[in-house]
Amino acid sequence: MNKQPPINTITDADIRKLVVARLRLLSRNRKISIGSSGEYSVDELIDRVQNNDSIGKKIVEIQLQYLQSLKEGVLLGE
Amino acid sequence: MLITRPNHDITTNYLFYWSTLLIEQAKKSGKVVTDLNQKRANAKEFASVVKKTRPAMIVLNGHGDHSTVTGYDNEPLVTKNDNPEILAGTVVFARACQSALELGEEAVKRGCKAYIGYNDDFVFVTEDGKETHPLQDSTAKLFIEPSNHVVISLLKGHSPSEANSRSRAMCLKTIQKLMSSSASQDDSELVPNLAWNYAHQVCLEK
Repeated sequence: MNKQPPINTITDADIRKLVVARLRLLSRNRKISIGSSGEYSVDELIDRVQNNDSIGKKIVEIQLQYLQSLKEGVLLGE
Repeated sequence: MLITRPNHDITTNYLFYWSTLLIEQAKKSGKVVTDLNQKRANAKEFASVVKKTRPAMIVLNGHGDHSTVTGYDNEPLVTKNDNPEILAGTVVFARACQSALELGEEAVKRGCKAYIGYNDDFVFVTEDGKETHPLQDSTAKLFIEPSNHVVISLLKGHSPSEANSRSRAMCLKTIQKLMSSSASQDDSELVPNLAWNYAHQVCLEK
């Protein structure tokens, strides 16, 4: 019986690294307002994602939803 | 039209200023506008004005969560477990986080004609140095103008679901523009946040 190759899985830490890499592309003279939580600079967002707190998790969710919508083509038109 | 516009922090101050465009448009359309701005965006005045004027449309700007929309200093104005019936007979646009999730659902059950809002956080991006001049913030405009379009569409006579669709279509058009090769790298990185609002803006009706 052939041995199956190992399945590569992406971990939450990998995803956070991906999101941080995307956040580093953001302009440094901008802030993101997220609900009643306040406004966050890019550096603050990166810290939050790395610390995996509630704001960091929300940013990850926003980025993952975007990547999913690209995959599904929902932003191409209605 | 009744509009609440607290301005006790940077986020609400942006919505405060961008809502002036809605008030101007409503007045141009011949609507009577009750403007509960700044500290007037409190629970007592809100309840009193709704009772007295029976507005056809209520625009709520503020913070929120799944069951609440707040006014000045985050005082709850409408809460799922307290006074959702205050929205009965009205069309509501709530520019606040998450409130469509439970408050909107309950308000519609209690007779609200339509509740347009967000079933997760409403997100926008601002430019440094524009905090005191929000209307000059061209980055914030990309986010707030499509949401303003809900009210503009309602004022033009569109139904709530049409107004929501037109607003989302404007958001999508902005997204597509920023995804095109003509957009700068800085601007194209705004797309995930715009796509978030696009996905989470909903119109609830019976």
